[in-house]
Amino acid sequence: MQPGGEPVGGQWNFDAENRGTFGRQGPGLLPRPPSFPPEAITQAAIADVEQHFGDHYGSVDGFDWPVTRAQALEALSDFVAHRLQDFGRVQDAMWQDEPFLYHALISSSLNLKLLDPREVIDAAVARYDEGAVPIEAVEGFVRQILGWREFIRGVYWWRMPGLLEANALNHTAPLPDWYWTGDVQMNCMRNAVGQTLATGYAHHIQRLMVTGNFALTFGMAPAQVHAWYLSVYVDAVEWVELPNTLGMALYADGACFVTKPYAAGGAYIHRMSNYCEGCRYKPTSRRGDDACPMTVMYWDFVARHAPMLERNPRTVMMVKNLARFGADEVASIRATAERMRAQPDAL
Amino acid sequence: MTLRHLVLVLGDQLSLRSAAFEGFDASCDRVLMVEAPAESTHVPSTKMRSALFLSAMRHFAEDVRAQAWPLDYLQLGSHAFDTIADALADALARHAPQALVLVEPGEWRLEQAVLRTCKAAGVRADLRDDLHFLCARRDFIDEARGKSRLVMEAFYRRMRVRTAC
Repeated sequence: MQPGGEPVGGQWNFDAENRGTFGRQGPGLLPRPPSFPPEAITQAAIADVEQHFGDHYGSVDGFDWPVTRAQALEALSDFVAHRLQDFGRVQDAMWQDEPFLYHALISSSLNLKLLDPREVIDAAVARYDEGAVPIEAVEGFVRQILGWREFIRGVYWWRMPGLLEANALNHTAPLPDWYWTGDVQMNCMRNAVGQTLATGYAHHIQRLMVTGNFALTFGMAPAQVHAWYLSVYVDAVEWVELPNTLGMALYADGACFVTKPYAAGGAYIHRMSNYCEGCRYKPTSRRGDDACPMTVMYWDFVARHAPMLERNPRTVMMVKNLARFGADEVASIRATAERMRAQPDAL
Repeated sequence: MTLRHLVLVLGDQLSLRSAAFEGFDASCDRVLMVEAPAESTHVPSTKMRSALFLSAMRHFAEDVRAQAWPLDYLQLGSHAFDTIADALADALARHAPQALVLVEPGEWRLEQAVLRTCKAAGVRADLRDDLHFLCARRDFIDEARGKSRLVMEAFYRRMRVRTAC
């Protein structure tokens, strides 16, 4: 803030500058985050996990997370020194086999309380004050820590315990088994789930717009989706996971803090990543063998919930766009969706 | 010698600056940490997530010991309790503290379980604000009272002003 109550940079929000992609050439050479290989205490913890929870999902082979405050501080300084300057610009972008990109990788340290949010914000703002990082990068980052993280925690305690049971859209489909194994042909989903099971991490757009978006449009039961998110992420504690899953990704709590469902089809994935290039499905295809499940389920979701989406000025265009396809095409999409929903393991 | 405070530290509360330790007196207070199997099974926690929590807890236990603070650390496999509440009930019976000190947990379920356990044992629960967060839980709920919808952007701007960030 500036004296007089105006935000530095003249605006509160630089989201418009923070929706970049990597383009066709990809992210290029990425800065390597510091490594925290298992030492004696972590090795013993891993052995205990294998002994007591050996049948649980995921792998612990590539363990690489800060386990002490000193390591967490190292992760923080490395981020602000080498990745913060590009964080905002490409924070929503995704790329095949690149699980970390320019993300901070401090969420687990913050949520374990190894780091304090004040020192995290101070470290980022100090880089702006030095002239080392642009305003949109530091604003986008501060918005996550001071805005979203604190807000979500407040929402959790405001809405509990009812939030656990919320299911405003009456969605009841079981979570497909491949959320736990990554064994799925949709390449976006295989990447997001695969890296999650291998590292315990995926960034916010992978969580919201890949695994979360598909759970929403497919119509999966919120309680099962919640159990998945709470189980698989190294930064997952219920106060942060539950409002993000039920409130934000699944639109399950009657829109108490979001203004629209975050539903999108394959076109969004195609725009924000290169996942579609390596996929057996085509993001533009709505029928036949290469029909993209992301796209089909999106339009089926719009058809199923058209009355609700029509009432909301932020989503009314979704319904209008669906109507332009004509009745035959809509019927075909719905039949394809029905077929996919009957056999989720074939996706 | 009687125990004044038993301080329960949960797996996501690993800071020596935590409000749990305000006024901690090693001559009459004691720390309790529990590796409870149920925390990895009430939802089927992946191996990576469980390993991180356990390793970070064990490292933090070293920090607590380095302060020469008395610590009961119940390691996985070395005790028969399934839940944190089970282990806490046993510790309350053994130590009979004047109060159980706890910082607001990150889960409603755990807060309820701990408060229930204290009530059943007849031990006062000293539930402290989590000073890690910049916005107090009570302040947020007070501001939200009577509203059916909240907007993050408005909250964020208030926080920027409030913290002069």
